[in-house]
Amino acid sequence: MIDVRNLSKVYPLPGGRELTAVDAISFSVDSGEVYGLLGPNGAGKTTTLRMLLGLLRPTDGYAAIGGFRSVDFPDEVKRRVGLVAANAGLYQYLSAREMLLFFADLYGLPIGDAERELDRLSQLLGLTEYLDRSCSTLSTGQRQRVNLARALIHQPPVMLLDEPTLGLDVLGTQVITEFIAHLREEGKAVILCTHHLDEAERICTRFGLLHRGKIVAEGTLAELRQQTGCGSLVEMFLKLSARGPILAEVAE
Amino acid sequence: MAPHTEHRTIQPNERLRRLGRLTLKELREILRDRRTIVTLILMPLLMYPLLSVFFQQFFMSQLGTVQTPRYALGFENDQEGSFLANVLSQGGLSLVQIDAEVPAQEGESRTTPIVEAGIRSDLVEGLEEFEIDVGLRLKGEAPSQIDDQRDLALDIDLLFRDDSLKSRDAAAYIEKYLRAANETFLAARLEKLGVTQRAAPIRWARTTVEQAGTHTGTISIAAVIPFVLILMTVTGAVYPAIDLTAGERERGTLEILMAAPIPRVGVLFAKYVAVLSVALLTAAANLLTMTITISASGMGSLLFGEAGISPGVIAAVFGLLLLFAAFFSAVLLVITSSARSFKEAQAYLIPLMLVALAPGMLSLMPGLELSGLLLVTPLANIVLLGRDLFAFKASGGAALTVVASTLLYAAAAIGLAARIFGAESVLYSSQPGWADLVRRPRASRTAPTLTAAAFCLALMFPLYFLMINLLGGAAGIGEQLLAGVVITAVVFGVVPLIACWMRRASIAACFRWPESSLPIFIGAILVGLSLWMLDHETVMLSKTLRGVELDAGYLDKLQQYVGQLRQVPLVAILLAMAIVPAVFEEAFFRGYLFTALRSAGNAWTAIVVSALTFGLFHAIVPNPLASERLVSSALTGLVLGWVRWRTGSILPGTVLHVCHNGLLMLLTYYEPQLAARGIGVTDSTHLPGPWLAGGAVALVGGVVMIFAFSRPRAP
Repeated sequence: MIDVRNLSKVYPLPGGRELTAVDAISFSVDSGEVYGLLGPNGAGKTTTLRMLLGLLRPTDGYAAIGGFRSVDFPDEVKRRVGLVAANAGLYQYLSAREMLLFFADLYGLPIGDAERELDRLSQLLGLTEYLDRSCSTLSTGQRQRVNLARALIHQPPVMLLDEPTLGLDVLGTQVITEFIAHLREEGKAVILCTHHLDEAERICTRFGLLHRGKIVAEGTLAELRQQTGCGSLVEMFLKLSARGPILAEVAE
Repeated sequence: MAPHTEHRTIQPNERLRRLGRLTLKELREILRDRRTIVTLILMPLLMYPLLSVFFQQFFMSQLGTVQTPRYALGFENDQEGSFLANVLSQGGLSLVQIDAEVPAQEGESRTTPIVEAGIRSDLVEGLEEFEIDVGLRLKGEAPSQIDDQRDLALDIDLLFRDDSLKSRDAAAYIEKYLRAANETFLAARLEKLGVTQRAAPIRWARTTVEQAGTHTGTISIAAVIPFVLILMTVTGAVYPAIDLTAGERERGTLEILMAAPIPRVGVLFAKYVAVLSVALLTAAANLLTMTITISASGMGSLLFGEAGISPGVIAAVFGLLLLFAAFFSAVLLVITSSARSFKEAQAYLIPLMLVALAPGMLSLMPGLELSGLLLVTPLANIVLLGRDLFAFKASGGAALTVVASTLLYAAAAIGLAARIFGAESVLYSSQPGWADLVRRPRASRTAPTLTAAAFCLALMFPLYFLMINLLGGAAGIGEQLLAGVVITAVVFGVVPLIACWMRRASIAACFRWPESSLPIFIGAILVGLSLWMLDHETVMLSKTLRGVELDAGYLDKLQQYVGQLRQVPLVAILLAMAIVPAVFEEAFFRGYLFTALRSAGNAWTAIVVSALTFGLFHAIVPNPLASERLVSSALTGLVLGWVRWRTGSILPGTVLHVCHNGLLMLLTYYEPQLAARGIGVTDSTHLPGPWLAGGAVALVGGVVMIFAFSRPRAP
């Protein structure tokens, strides 16, 4: 469903220098899989997702969803993707219902289908009681649930989740995590970028460990354990850091 | 699963409905914002009453029209009163009863004071209690009458308050008439003594001078009103423009909006309609409050002349504000779309506001004419048109040019805004990203986009005017022809070429040779040689319908011009006025523009819109041969557009165009020779019947040939 090959993004910097944010990465995600794209801040996770969706133009390489290349068929790609970004906001003067129906319309969903899907998602995510409240009055957890519903309203086969639990409390995180597991059962292809490694361990079927724009390790948890000799993702991260330049960076 | 994997095509109707829903969402959002309501309702409610107080205080008193001064004059008793009133009337002052209604006299300035007279036994007390402004009493007995027979010596006390401005004015006013009375008596006596000289050598009369056709004093204040309204409209548009663009990015909704499969132009257009609506609501609210304030305070006749503020004036002002808002909202969106935050957008807007206000000042400048380059200068043309509308001297042609150029600029600005809005650099970069405007796309495309075409037209329109102004003043006819060639080549050739290169659009396909080309080209030649008759009759018909004759001045100019043309070799004329225009105009109107229109809509839209644009460009040319041709050129454009659509090529149309222009020039060139052989072709008569019949046969034959040997193609 998701196909990434040798994808690169290079930003020009002042003074003729360049910053390689993503460095020739390749991976693929099938339907029913949750792929954990993990890595420290600045590793290139968000840039990768944006290139996949056609919001950023890759410097090089190939990114496609459902066989449609992002660069050539951005609308076909966007139709198939639900995006939950870490810093995504809501329209503060619209109610949650109005906002969700607005996005359903943007994706070309007929109003009847949109309302049915809205009901289903409200039940699933527990939005029903604050559906008609103005978005500006919602709590962080409620907002993030509305955001999830917004990304799902057009029934996309692919979900790109960029730090969906950022800033949420334990309960909020739990709700979202369970919902991602549910998405996997629904047969969606999901890419999850998160810093909550324990949750990632629970719900992701495969992982790609991203460091400085490169995928340094890839596979199921068992394969990663074998590759790295570590028991948990946290240990793997620490080992990577000790071996790689991450700690050195922090020390600087 | 996956209901959206199949390719969905959206019907044009549905596209329009969706655009409506997008706009409604933007409006809903912006109208729920308390800040919008403040600028929309509260500001005008507070502003106009305050402004009216300001006007009353500063402007009206200067005009001296607030109130005619009334002075109260007191006498001690009836006898003295009637005697002194008689004296004053000899000096030319007639008194009125206290509180009497005084109708304004014809030709009398509204500043002429009225003097009310009454009896007040104690004048000093009357002055102290402000019951009278000035008192008159005789020293000694009042004579029964006053005339030139008797040796008369009268002493009068004139009482007034030195601490009251009004009392001092009143005293000076009465003194003036006492002096005048003295002069009258003196003159009578001198006449009696046989002296023919005047009693006083110097006499003068005051004559006020008014500029013909204007109400001095009132027009400049009336010009302030549209200015204030424009300012308020801007205020109404600024907030929604920022909120709906830079605000999206700040709130974090821009990225998810860009993640949806909708064209940016659609999103931007919905935002534009929302901003425009709020601007117009603000304008309407302001207009309404202003009208109520003006009517309630009775300033209408002062500001808008005798008729006061009429529905016609209100409609004209609103139309002007609509045009202004249409333009300004689009420009605002360009600026605010490039901003990453509210603050940044505000910083960008300050210079724009200053620039926007400068042309407003133009309306206050006397003697500035709405012509030439000013016709296409953004904003300045709207303000000047507004000024002319108020003075009832705006011409239809000028208004058309102003409206057309303004709408073009607005369309181009929306296109620009759509390219910036949600662009990578605005969405993610922290560096200002104007580079998106000029960056060439990586992939080439078969047709230019509608946005690119609108932008191209918006560039061509002022460039056309600029070049005509710069080169049009060439002295000789040869230079004029050369200038025409250069203008045509640059405007219709170079500009679209650059536009194609910039957007990697290819219109090369337009130049392909049509299938079964020979019959098609013969058809094109037939149509080209007969179409001018249709043109001619259209011009005649439109004149008949409008009930106007060609005016003599225009015919003179035309004859003079044609006379000059005949001094140039025919080949040069055919090259400059038939071949070059045909080649470049076809390349642009039926090549570039038609292809862009066709890529966005159906064939008939492309034919009609390209023909109208073609007509518009011909109507604004100052060449005497080309004026009066909006309708006929548009008709020719329709035919050319149809040929382009049927044949899929611009080559037959170019041949048609060359034949059409060439034959017209030949007829003009050899008019004297033709006339000598009894063949009369003038601009003011209908063509002979047999000619028309022959022309119709050729025209229909040509059309049928093209129709039969071609089939419509995709763009």
